[in-house]
Amino acid sequence: MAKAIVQAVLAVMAFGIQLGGVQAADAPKSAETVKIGVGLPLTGPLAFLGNEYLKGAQVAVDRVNGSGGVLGGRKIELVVRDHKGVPAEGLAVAKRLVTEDQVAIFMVDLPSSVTIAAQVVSKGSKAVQLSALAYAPDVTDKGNPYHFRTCTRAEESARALGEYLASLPGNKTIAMVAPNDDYGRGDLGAMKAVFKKLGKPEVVYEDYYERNQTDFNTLLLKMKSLNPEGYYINVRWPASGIALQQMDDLSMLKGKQLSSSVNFFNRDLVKRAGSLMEGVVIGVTWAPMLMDVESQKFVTAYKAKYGDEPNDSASQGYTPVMVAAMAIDKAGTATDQEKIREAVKNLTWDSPQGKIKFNDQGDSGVPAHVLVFKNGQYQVVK
Amino acid sequence: MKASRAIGWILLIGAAALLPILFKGAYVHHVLVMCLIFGFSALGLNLIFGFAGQAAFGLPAFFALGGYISALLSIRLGLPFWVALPSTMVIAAMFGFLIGYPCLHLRGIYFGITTMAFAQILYYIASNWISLTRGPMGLVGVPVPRIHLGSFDYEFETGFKYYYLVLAAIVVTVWLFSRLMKTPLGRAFVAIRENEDLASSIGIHPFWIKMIAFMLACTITAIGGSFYAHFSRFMSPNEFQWYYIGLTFIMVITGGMGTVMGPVIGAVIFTVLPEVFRAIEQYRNILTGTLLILVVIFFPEGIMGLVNRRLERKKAVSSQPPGRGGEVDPV
Amino acid sequence: MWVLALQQVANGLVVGSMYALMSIGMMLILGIMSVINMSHGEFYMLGGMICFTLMEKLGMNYFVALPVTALAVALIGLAAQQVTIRPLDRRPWFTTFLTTFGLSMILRDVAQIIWGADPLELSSPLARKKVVLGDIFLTQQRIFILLSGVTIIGLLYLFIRKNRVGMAMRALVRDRDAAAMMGINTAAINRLTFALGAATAAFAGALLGALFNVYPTMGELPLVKAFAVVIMGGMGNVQGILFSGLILGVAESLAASFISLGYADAISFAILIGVLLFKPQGLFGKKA
Repeated sequence: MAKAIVQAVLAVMAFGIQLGGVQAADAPKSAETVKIGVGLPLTGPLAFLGNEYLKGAQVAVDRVNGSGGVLGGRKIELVVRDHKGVPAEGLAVAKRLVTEDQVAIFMVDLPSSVTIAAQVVSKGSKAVQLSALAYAPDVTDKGNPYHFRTCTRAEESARALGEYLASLPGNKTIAMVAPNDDYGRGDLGAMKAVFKKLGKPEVVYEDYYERNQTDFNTLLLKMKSLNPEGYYINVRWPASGIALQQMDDLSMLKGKQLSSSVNFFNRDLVKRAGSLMEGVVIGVTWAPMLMDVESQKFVTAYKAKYGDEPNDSASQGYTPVMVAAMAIDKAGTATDQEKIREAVKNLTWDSPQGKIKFNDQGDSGVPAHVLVFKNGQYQVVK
Repeated sequence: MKASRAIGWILLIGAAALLPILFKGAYVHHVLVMCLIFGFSALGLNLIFGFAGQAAFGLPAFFALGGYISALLSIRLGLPFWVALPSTMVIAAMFGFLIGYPCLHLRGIYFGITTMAFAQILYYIASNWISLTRGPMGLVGVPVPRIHLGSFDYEFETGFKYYYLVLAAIVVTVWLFSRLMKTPLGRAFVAIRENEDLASSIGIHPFWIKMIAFMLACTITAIGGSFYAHFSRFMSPNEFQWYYIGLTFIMVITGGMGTVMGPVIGAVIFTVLPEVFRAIEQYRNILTGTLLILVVIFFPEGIMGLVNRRLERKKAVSSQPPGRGGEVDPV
Repeated sequence: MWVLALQQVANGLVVGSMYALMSIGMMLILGIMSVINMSHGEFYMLGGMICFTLMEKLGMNYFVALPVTALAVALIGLAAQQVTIRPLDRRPWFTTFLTTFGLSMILRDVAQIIWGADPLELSSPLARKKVVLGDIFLTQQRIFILLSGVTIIGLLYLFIRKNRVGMAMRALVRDRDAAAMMGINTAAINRLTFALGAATAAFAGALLGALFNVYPTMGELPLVKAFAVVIMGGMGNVQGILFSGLILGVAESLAASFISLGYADAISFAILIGVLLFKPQGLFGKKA
């Protein structure tokens, strides 16, 4: 019996050693580079957004390294890990980035629920975390001094879009749908608050769809039966294309004011369902048509690298890497989290999204914009 | 025999206690803790499936259920971990009764499917009762276990500390488990596995014996869930995924169904392996799936089953008739 | 209100016919082979994926691609059966549950490697053609789905009732050993059953894929629904499966519309638990 147990112990040990071995192989090869951790959904239904974000982040890495790096010549490097958009995986990724990869600053983004889960790590281990694609109010409302958000809040984009929608003639009633997560719930909550303040449009219907859902028929039918004057369809790609086609199948688009979030700011969507999008009003945080210096610098660099125009998500990935590099450089250290935190907190930068200056909550205070899709083109109206 | 067994136990526990000291790093400690946490799932499933012979496919859902109960008790009611854990065990046993009652009237394949249906219902409740569970957004901020007595304040906030907490719990559980299997109740479980009709003819009431086994299994599985929630500090409906059903079964079968230590060893192997495979993320499920198929086809007795058989062959001269894995010598 | 209900019923019937088509295969495999086929959802997924590839890469017409897809997946199913089920012939029933579970993990990730994680658009020529019946809006694809679903199930019913092989299948459900003694080739029947099950699942995937896109994890939910339908419908009963599938589809549509979207999926399981508690032999099953 004792022998059996010893055998079992040896088996366990063998696995342990194997694990240790794998870990050693993963160890950093160069102590010179400064590592920035990025956790994103690179597979699963949100992979589209995650990959765009990552492309934007790479542009920032190139720009920083091209102009001499940080801390007197050290290059920056992204440590990228996939969390599939699942909160529990996001938490594990954040843990790993901080304890194993020992990154200087980390981002775990998309969707907000993942960011919120990952904050257990930044708050618990006192590690600086930036968020760039997490609009839900709760992302910064929980009092975490180590977390900063470079993008705007749901309330701000809701205010911009809501005010524009309310200013349009007619448009007295609206039916809304959004994803069933912190982002979607935060978004509809903020929209409702804005509409209530402005007195119109009246919200006649709201519901949430599941992330893996592709059949919107039952939901759309219910919306149609209420006959509102407008629809707010905050559905992520590629489900957005299916939802639009199903709306068309049910003949419910004609004469209605369609509106959406940044999720409708998407070239692939235009390719698939562009003819159905005429007149759609969308709230975004950034667009390549913005003419400020930083936006255009980013657009030029992105086009040079990928031969394509960046979208909103790509710009959101660009900004936090720039912020991280500037903060690390200013702090004069890639390890002292307290100093890096101070540097982020005191940083000001005219980012593509607007002027970043973090408040005590960690919100950057950047504005939101409104686009209209007209004649097959997106146009900035606000 | 008795002395060598005690030495074996001490060696095993000693080796387990040394692991986090030998293998350093927060990530490795994280994996080690997860090994033990899944050990509870495997132990629970082994009780109802390996010993009592009831393929309760839905049982791994009690892992998530236990996590949710414990997380809710500590977040919504502010209960400390030391109160939340035993309460979770009691509540999980109650759920076990409620779900077991309709299911255990069915036999074999139908029992299995029905428990799975209930597991799926629990998943839908967790994803849709937003005001209670926050749905797919998950529960954030589950507190870490903490001892606070006057000026003495100790938090189990690192994987290193947490490991010893869970290790102590699993040692106690395994010890109680092996004692239980030697009682008439434990023998009744096995009797039902071997032949339910025969068991009832010699005065064992199969329904209630199975019920006790099921409730115990639910409780043990839920302990793992509770430890998980307070370790990851987060609970989401994701943990209800059917993937965990496959994973828990493969742990039990690889380790050895109907042995006491087998499932724990299986849990260690199949927590470490996916982490080793993480380097080849894309092929992770393919490898796990292939292993599951190979193990079921070629290796049905599991590691401890093989070890026990070899031991039995050695002492074949002794009076004991060669039995199946768990009946004779559970370790 | 009534218009909405009617419209939801119409949609529910379309989706329900596909639940039924999925479940028929699941039920046959369970009844004849005593196997809970956990990879059934993956055969559904492969149906969508292979149909997509045949159309996009080989330029095949949708209506030609459909039967070719079904045939291809039947062959894959046959190979899978040889590897994961046949070696476990004399072993307890849960062993095949586990091997098909493993198979489903493998197939899903293989599909992700081949086709990627993102949903692909399976464009049926009927998908965007509207049909307006009074106040009810449908597309030709939806009507095509409902009709093909019911037709295939009808053909299967006739096959099992009237054909010699079908009768052998029924004999196997009744008593396996007796059937073997009567000279029925049980191994051949097993192969046929599994291939048939895989083909019907693939057909459902290729039909519904044209409405909802195709992606590696698309089989998860249909598997869960097939579970519910098989238990609801009772064993060895083709009509029972058809009606249960349709009832489930309609119930879910109405629930999503009149209660809440999130709980629509839970409806199937609420019905399921009710059936298990009060009529364990299934809504349409005879006492075993």
